[in-house]
This record gives sequence, C-alpha cells and structure tokens, in this order.
Amino acid sequence: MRERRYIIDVFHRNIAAMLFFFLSTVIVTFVDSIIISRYIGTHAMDANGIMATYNKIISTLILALTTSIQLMSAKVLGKGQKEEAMKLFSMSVVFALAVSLVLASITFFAPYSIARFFGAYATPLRETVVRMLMGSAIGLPAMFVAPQMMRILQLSGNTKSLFFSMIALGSVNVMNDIIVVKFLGGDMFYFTLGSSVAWYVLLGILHAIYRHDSNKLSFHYLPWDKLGLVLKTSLPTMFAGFGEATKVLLLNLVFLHLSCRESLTLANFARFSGLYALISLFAVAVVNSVSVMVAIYVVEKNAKAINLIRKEAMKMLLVVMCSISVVLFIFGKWVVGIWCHDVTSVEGYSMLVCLRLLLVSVPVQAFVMFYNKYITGVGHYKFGVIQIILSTFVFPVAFTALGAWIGSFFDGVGDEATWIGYFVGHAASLAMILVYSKVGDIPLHFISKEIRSYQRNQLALCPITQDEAVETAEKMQVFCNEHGVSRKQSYLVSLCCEELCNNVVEAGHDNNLMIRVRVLCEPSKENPDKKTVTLTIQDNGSYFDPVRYYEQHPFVDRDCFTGLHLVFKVAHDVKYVTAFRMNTSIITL
Amino acid sequence: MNTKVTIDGSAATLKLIGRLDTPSAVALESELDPIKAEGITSLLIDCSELSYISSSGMRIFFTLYKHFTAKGGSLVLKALNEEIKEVFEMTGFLSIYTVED
Repeated sequence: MRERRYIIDVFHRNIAAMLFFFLSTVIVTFVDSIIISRYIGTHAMDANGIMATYNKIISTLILALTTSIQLMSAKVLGKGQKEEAMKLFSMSVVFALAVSLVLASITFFAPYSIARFFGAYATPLRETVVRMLMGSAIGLPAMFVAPQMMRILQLSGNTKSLFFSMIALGSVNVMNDIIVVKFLGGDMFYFTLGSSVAWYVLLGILHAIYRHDSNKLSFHYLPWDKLGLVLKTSLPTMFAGFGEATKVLLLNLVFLHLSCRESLTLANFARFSGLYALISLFAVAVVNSVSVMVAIYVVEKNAKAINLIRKEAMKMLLVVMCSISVVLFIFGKWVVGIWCHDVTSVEGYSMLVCLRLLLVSVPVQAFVMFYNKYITGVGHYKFGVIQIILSTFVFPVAFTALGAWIGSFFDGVGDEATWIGYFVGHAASLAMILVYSKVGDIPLHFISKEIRSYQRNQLALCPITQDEAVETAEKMQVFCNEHGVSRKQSYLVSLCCEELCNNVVEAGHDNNLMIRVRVLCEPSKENPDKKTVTLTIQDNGSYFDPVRYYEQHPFVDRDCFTGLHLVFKVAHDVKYVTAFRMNTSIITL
Repeated sequence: MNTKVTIDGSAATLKLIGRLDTPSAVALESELDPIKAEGITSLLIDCSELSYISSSGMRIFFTLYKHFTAKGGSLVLKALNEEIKEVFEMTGFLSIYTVED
C-alpha cells in the first residue's frame, strides 16, 4: 500500500511539472508568434529561421564552455574537492565574459556594415535579419555569464540565490525580446547601451548576494593553467552544436525556398516535417559520432565512459526517429490535410507548434524512458508509458487548442493585452523551472549529472582498472556514511561494489571496457529513519548473469567461496538486466 | 594496508592495519611464508586496526585456518570490528573461527 502511494505521489509531481512545461512552452511560442507577426512583419518567419542558425552557434559556444566546466568540476567534486570546483567556476565566469564581449561586438557591428556594403535594408527580409542580429548582441554577455553564475549558485546550495539567478535569466530573455521586437526601429543605440548596463547591474547584484551569503567565490586565485583543458573538453560539444547549426541552416534554406514559391502551407509543412526529422537525426548522429571520437581522444576516462553510453544511445534514437520520420513523410499530408491553413496565420502557427511537439516529443520521450529503464536501470515502466501518452498527445494537443482559442481573442485586442500575455508566458517558464528543481526527478539541464548527483543523494563514478574499482568502493563507503547511511550498510555497499567491479574488470574481455557505478541513498519506504541504498553497476563487457550463476552454484561449501557469494549473502536484492549491449546489476541493500 | 608479523616460539601474531581489499590481499599472500613455517602451530590475527575486508581477504583467513587446523594448531581472530564481524556472521564464517575481543 505504501509502495503504491509513494509511486502515485511521484507520478503526480511529475504530471504537475509536465503540465507547467507544456503550458508554458505553448504559451510562450504562441505569444512569440503573435508578437513577431505583428511587430516585425510578414518576413518574420523567414528571418526567424535564418536567425535560428546563428542562435544555435551561440548556444553551442555557451553549452561547450559550460559542459567542459561541468566535466572538470564533476571530476574534482568526485574527489571531494569542492573548493577546487569553485575555482573552476570562478574562472569560467571571467572567461565567459571575455568571449561574450568579443562576440557581442562582432554581432552588433558586423551585420550593419555588411548590410550597408550590399545596400542596406534593400529588402524587408534583410532588414529584419540585420535588426534581429544587432538586437541579439545586446543579451549576449548576460547569456554567457548567467549560466556560469547559476552553476556556482547551484553548487553553493543557496536556494534564495538560485531563485534570483533564474529570475535574472528569464529577464534576459524577456528584455532581449523587448528590444528586438519593440525598439530596434527607434533610437536603438541608447536602448542597447541602457540594457547592457542593466544586465551587468542585475548580475552584479546577484553576485553580491551570493558572496554575502557564502563568501566562497574569489577571483584572485583563478587556476589559469587549466584554461587549455577547458578548451579541449569543449571540443565534443562544439562539434555537436555546429553540426546542429548547419542542419538548421540547410533546413531553413528549404523553408525559404518553399516560402518564395508561396507553397508553405500546413499540408506541405506536414510532409516536410518527416524529412526534417530524418535529416535532423542523421546530422545529429553523424556529428555525435564525431564528437564521441573526439571525446575519447581528448578527454580523460570519465568522459570516455559517458560518451560511450551516449554513442549506444544515439544508435537507438536514430532507429526510432527514422521509423517515425518515414511514416510522417508518407502520411503527413493526410494527417493534417483537414486544416489546410497557411502557417503564417495564427491557427496555422498553433497547428505547427502542435506538430513540432508531437514530432519531437514522441520519440524523445520514448527514448528517454527506455534509456532510463534499460541503460541506467531506474524508472517505472508503466508510469513511463502513461507519461508518454499524456506528454506527447494529450497535453500538447489540449494546450495548442487552448492557445488557438486565446489567440482568437488577441487578434482584435491592443498591444497591452499582447504584452501581458507575453510576460505571463515567461513567468510560466520560470515557474516551470522552479517546479522542476523541486520535483527532483527531472534534471535541470544546466547542471551536470555528476554535480547534481553529488549534491543530492547519489554519486556516480567510472572505474576502469582493479585499483580504481577498489578506490571507487572506498569512495562509495565514505559517500554513504556522509549521507546518513549506517556504518554497517555503508560497509556492505563498499563490499558489493568492489566484488562486482572486480568481476567485470577480470572477465570484461574488452579493450573499450567501461564501468559506471552509481550509489543512491534514499529514505526507506518502510521506515523513513533508515536508508535504502541502491547500487547500480553498468558495464559494456562480456555477458555474465550473476543471478543465474548464483542459482546454479549456490553457496554450500566454504572452499568454493567467491566474491559473488558474498554479494548475495549480504545484499537484500540483486537484479541483472542486459540491454543495448550494456549489462546492469542492481543491488539493493 | 600495513602488516606487522611477530613470532614467539611456535606462536605467531599477524597485525593487519587498514583495508584488506583485493590488491592488498594479493600482497599479503606473499608475506605469509614466515607464518606458515614448520615450527609455528598457532596464529593470532590482530584485527583491531583492520577497517575492511573483501572476499579475497576472507579467503586468506580461511586458507590460514585450514593450514593451522591441519597441523593440529589454532587460528584466533582478535578484536574484529562490528562491521567485519557481521559480514563473517552473514557468510557463516564466524562460527568456525575462535574470536577474541
């Protein structure tokens, strides 16, 4: 009964988070489309598409920088060196600021000069693109610096500061959009200057709050010697991001072509969506493979292990997405043929949002569920299925219909109502992030798994050799002790970890052997004062089912005593799952 | 892990300090020759500073137990900590050893 109540509680919390997510996504996208079409003009869709390429490149740079910092911090945090992680983040703030200022200058001045050279604003589309680019330069520094600072705040565990940082990031988006769509036609220079100053004041206040609270961040002892390593670890993400940007550029060129021929109807878009998904996945798969190879050569073994899992996962994703893409390509026109609106109309755009959600959400959600279930060995299968149905079909369609209905009112309403809707949408986004952070089961995208794990109740490490397996076992014991697990239980965790990892190392028979060990400490469902510890060991070595082996060779003679017998004697439960060439042992203690 | 061996006539004492994990067990095995020598019939393993023992370590204990009982001697484990004692109990090894506090 308690088990059931616990699962239902988790499920309800997930549903609440998903509701926020889809509601805010649809509202923001919907209101964005209204604003773009109203204030920028009929070429807004095309200009927006072209800008998407540029945005992808910028976000890739931001992501590459933050990923490399995360990776390095995860390693030092794994060794318990929190101070060292703080130094890394300190450096990242300075570095991000420097990079962003250079990029912002280029973004602000280059498009205007180029446009003037070719005959500035000769076409409405070119004018729109130039204005959008110049506007986007304004928010760049804040966009680069804010994620770095958020990580510092997240690491400090300061909830109040985290809240402020989220408000700051949300404000970055809102203010940037205001400048782009509302003021670029007017006296642009003063607005951009004023906004930039406002960003730094905002971030400065945030920083001051943080320093006042914890006083752990200091710029005077930055480890500049690690700068090279930061750049090297950024490479895989850069590969993936630039690949994504190239894909967006190519696809938008096709969209532009269709648009010029005045044939971009919803029915055409539906057919094109299948092709879009197909190209997307091939591009991502190819680029990801390259990034994996780069990761293997330039990053140390933790990243190697993580990327090997990603490589396996990508193959699976590719198969699923290709199948869906083919079906959509063939039947897309029939599926949405009954609407047949122009995509630039409010109703058409709503439908387009719906289609995008369906196309992206179905395979990704399915993939995430299978990934969680079979690769990481966690997750509730049945509830995963219900979540997919709700999140991919029910919520998007319902909210899109709601958006279309609201939009019909906005058509005849003035600017004020539109702006109110715009702010409400962003407020919903912020609320969604906060709900996600509270729910706990859904990762915040801006913080690495390792850091999040260490902060909360789980630790993941990747040993390769026998010595590392022993070291990992010792760390797991210390971690459990520090997280309220009894001395005896912590001891048993260490014991099971060492025995099973040693078995994998000795019998793995693979040059690219990868082991990932994760320990999760949770309050016991029966007795909240006690802890339940789940030890998960994944490897890509030879198949060996310890459960079956134990059943065939039970412990009857002390002469035949092995580490495996020890594990079965001390563990509460042992499970073994093999999927996608990954073996997973799940031990409950 | 560190070890300290003292031999007093036919009695030997082996003091284990630290963690007896798989690599340590391999190293320990090579240090046992003086203890297994002809004239020694009893062994006291001092575990007061032993914080951890893996299955490899437990196998060494069992091998030593068989060695000394075959000679008509004895093996005594001294000052096992709570966790190690519990593991020995769970695996059924505790009942065969003589344990001193």
